[in-house]
Amino acid sequence: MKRAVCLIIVLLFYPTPNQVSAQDVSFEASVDTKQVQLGASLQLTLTFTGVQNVPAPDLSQAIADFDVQYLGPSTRISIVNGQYSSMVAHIYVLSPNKIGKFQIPPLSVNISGQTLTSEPIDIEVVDTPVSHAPPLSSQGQEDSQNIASLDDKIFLTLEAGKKQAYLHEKISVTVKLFVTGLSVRDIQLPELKPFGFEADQWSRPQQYTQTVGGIQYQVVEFNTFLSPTRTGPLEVGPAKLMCSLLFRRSQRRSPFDHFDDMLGGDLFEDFFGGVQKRDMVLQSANLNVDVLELPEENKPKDFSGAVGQFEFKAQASPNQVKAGDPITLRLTIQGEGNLKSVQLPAIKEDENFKVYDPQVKEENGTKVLEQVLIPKTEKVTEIPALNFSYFDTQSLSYKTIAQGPFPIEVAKPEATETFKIVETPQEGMKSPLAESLGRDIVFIKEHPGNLRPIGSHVYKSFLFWCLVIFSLVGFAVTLVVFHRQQRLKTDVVYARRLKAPLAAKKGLAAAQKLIEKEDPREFYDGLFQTLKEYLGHKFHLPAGTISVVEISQLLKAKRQEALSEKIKSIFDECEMVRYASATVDKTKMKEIFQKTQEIIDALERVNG
Amino acid sequence: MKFFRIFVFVCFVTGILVSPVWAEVFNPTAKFYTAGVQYKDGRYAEAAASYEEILANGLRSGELYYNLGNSYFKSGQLGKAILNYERAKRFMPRDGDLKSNDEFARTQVQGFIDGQGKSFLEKILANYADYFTADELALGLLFLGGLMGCVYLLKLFFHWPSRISFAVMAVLLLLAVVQITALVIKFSAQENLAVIIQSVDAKFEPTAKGSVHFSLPEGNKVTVLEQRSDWAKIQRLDGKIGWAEKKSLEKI
Repeated sequence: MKRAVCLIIVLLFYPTPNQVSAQDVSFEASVDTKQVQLGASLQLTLTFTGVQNVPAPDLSQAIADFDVQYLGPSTRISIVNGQYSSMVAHIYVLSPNKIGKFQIPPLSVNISGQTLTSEPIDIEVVDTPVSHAPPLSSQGQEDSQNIASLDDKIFLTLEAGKKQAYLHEKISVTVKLFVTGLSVRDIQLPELKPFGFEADQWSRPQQYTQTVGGIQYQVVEFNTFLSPTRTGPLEVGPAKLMCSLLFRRSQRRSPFDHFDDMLGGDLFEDFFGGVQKRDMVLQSANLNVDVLELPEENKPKDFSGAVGQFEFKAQASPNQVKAGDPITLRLTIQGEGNLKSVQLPAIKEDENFKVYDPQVKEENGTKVLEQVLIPKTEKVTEIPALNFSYFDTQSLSYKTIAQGPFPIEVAKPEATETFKIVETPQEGMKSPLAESLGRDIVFIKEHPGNLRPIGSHVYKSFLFWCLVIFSLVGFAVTLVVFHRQQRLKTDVVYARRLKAPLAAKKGLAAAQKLIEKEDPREFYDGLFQTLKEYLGHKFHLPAGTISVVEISQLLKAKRQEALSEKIKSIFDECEMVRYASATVDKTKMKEIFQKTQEIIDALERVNG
Repeated sequence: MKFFRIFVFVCFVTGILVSPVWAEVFNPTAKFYTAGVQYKDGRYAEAAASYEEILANGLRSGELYYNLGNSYFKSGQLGKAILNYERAKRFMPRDGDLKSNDEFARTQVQGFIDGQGKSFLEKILANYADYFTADELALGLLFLGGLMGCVYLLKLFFHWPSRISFAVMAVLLLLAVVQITALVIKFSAQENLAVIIQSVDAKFEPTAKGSVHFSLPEGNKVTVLEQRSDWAKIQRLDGKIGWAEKKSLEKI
């Protein structure tokens, strides 16, 4: 790929490629070597001269004897002494699969309505140890003459331990990679898409040599287990495995090698020792497995799909406890079979036991369940028996293993006592004998207490600060209310002034009703009284002594001459109606009512 | 043959040994009981690991720290035992078992150095602070504040004689001051306390080459004054100052 694209950009504006006549177009196929070792590859270059843009022809159909891989185009435009020439080369890598003599057939390409055909090329594929290129691996040299194709040098097999199995039965599956006389690298784990099976993980691969048909192979073995989840004939595979083959690079020349030399391309390759890498995907044959239904007869009730051979053990400790203290029940299942999907018989919560969710662990063909039980009362005498049923693939029958019941002794719960370790014996309590006390740490606590998130504290909680703020606000409000009431009680001026607008409001409301009744005398009486009372409260004057003169003097002191004029006019009008019984109509009453309201509003706004 | 070995290694690394993961809901209470059974069976290291797992899941209680301290004590890690007893004290300061075990663990520490040169008043205040948890002190302070407010309002509304209300107020104020001082001691003085979890030499300078000033056996308490990358400037309870590697101590 390093020499795939090598482009010279022409900045000068010269005859455009459209002006190049069709007669100048030529097509040529060339290879970098005519002799290639099996497993290595050769480079095929299709060169188009006189054109700038030709799509890469698809060769996978045309050349059947090789694996074809397209590397990319290489374009060159040059202007020498005003002569314009352009060239496109498409580069392919051909990998042979067999030994023998092959021919790259004449290739036909259609360019701007013209069909161009290349010359056929003869290629000889030889076995790996070609005289001029010693292989990286020296294995299997003497056997190599028997091998004619790459498929015999590296291949993949798929085997199963059983062709016939019961539902959920564990079937061992082996994938083997056979290699001889080749350097293989970057071997990945095989890919198996088992439809209708539950697959385990691949175990650690094993590596050994094996002789098949007189040829010594290096074998890499991958093992796993499948357990079918459906019945009927099922197909496993094909297994696929990805790896890379390594070859020493053979001599080859590309049309633009001199550019590469200039750019130091070969230096780069020499650094890697001229080793060529080829990725390949190997595929094995398919495998058929017939899956049988488990027999219905004698099927235990508690059967939960365990198939294989198992041992089941249960163990409870301690067996002497106080009510409310925990007992740990430990169930172990060991054996060959579909351990992953085996369900262990756990104890359910009832009137005797409080039960915590079991914790299950599985490793190395053993499944362990640990469950914490707490007997609720001292009347509990045993942990009930536990049954585990499975289908035995050896005797082809169901088997049940029972464990327990486990007798336990439950004592009454005691009041929590704390150890009293007397550090310094008090005076007067000296023991008669010189006693040597044993010393160790006190036993652990039975119960976890109040498990709370790390970092959570009451003094950091929202509720705590709400309480603080609430009590502060409550205190302040109580103080304010108290002081206001105190002032109302002791300060008459303040109390009357506070009372003034409220009393006025009441009087005005009463007067407004009188407008509707069209009772001028009562109305003016009411209005006059209201205003007088209001002014009395406001300026702390005895109600009887209010006179216009006094009010105007007080208002003058507060620079409210305009208001005093208005008050005077209202008072005059009231007096006129009350004593001179002047005739008034509804509009007039409304007018004076409005005026009074305005005056009270204005006076409220006057400070003090 | 070489490439086979390489690839075996590659396979190894690419996760062939990834064991199945058991997705389950973590139940701290069950774990606590399981750890208790492990402790009873004498599997102290396993019990400690189980308790640590509960802590790793973000939960704690005084009992948990106490049991963890016991597990470490039994498995011979005196420093970690004392560290966890100290932590447990923050949640159950008046627990007799804890007190007894903490004292016993301290007697096992070689050359345990206690605080010296404290005045009588300081000792009383420190004891007072030790007797309560921070939460209790904070709630107590809130309660005292509420009480003072109530007394003031009673005086206002029900005209309590000022002599009585003044006396009550003075007592409450004194208590509040004590409470605040205890809280300050709790937060500031204990903030930087650490326990040596593996015996180490305190040096004159924060480098491995520095000359040794004094040695700090596992389980001693120190105050962390300053931290610099891998080193901490620490003060022994008797006032001596030196530099110790951070990994050898853990803050309470």
